Amino acid sequence: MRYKTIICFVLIFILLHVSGGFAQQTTKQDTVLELMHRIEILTEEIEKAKLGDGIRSGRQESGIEERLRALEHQVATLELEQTSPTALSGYMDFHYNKSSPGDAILDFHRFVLLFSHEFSESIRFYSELEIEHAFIKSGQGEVELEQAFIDFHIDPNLAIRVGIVLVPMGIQNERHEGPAYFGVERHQVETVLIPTTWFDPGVGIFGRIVPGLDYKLYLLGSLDGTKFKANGIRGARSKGFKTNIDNPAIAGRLTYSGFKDLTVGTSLYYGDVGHKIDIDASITIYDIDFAYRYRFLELRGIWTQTFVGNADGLTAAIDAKDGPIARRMEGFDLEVAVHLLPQTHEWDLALFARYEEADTQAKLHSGFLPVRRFDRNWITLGASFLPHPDVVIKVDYQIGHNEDPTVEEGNSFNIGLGWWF
Amino acid sequence: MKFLSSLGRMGLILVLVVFGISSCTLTSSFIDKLAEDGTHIIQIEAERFQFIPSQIRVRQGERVRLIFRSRDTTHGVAIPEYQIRKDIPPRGKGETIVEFTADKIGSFTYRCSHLCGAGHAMMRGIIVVEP
Repeated sequence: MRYKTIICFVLIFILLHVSGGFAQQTTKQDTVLELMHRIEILTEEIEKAKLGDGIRSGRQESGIEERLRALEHQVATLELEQTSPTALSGYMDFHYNKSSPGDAILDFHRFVLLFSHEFSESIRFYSELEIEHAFIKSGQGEVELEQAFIDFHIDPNLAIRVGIVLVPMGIQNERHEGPAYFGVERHQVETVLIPTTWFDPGVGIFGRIVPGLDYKLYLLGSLDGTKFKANGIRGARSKGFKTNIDNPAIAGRLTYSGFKDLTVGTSLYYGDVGHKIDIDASITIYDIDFAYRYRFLELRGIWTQTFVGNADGLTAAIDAKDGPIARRMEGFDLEVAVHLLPQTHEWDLALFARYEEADTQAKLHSGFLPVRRFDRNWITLGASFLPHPDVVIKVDYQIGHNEDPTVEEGNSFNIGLGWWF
Repeated sequence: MKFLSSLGRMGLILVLVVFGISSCTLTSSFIDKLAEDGTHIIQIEAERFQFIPSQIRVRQGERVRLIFRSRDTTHGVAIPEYQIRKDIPPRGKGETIVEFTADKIGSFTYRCSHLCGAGHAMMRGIIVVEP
């Protein structure tokens, strides 16, 4: 009986608290509406004064405008107070893939939720939580915490970032929502050579050096050299799971956006990768990239190289079965797209073509022969239709080729539906 | 294959140079003008994950009108120094106008205030108020 009484009191307290908050919010909304009504009246008065018979003097008009600005400021302040510091957002990708050779598959590739919270104007939290391929089981699907960091803004040119961050390499690693790129699947170069989505725990700074020139500089967990393969380093990402930080990697990026419609960037990553097997081995990756849009035309491209220090030592130590670890890997892509509808239209329809090369066996130590099937290129032709700025329907056909005449790279036909909210 | 790699490298450099030069000549097409009443009007475009331009300059005491348009999704603009925070509608759905008087000298941040994607935290610009 006593418990029931306590529960009743608690429920009444919660009800009063909630209704009190609601009443307070309602009062604020009423105030905003009242102020907006007064702004409308003053705006009408100004219009009358401007069009009127000159009865009002310039001084009177100026006085009204001052009152108008004061009221607008009050409205803005009240609206700011009402804004929630916590936000929820997300994006999803649903794909149909038909590879040749291979069966057709339907894949709910990504279900991603983003949460953010503003503790204050200078301390803000962001996160990105992802489920891949809908179902999680050993070797199938994944749950990934791709971002979870706090920014401390020191001044407009300097901020500190701590947590799980996206490694600032290339274009797509930090810009990977479905509506943001052409093609159903992400670019091959930024999958094979820059292992998008690449994230790691770390700490860093970012900001602006001069107008238009932004920088990022992070200390991050290392890649695991024992997971390097002849076909790349994708498997070496720690994905934030108990990342080794004894020998932190360093990653930096410069982006220049001072030109209208053109952004150029360059990134550099260096880290020790031999810590698990106690050998001296390292990795250096750099890229140069650009993205350009002028009216209906869109162009983007990237060039990247990877250098593995002591690649032959790694190959011997991990007994690489699918081929030797290369000293150098490299690749590039170039993409051109044409938008068929003007930028002011809510819909968008674009056709695109992309050429990509990725060679993860570009240079080997003497005594090793390259595995030619890992020297690949792809031509992708497709279209994106956006019936809403945040919903995209994609279709493309990708023709793959590799330098080994005995192994077929395969082609694929893909349809994708992506959305963002 | 090596030929294509070299071709790609040269092509990339060529494209960068050509579009770098053409963009230099296009910079002047930003709307940045003074209205008849002296208001400084600047048009800013928002896209994942940048403002274009990302740095603007105004004079102390100027009445400033910023016109924001999105090239893609819903964004937002927050200028804490002037207690401004508004959403920018998605492409094709209009524009957002904010006005303030640049009364203090210094550099102030304007940033996206609407969670707009994985790079949202990087989307910001700087207002430089000069004497």
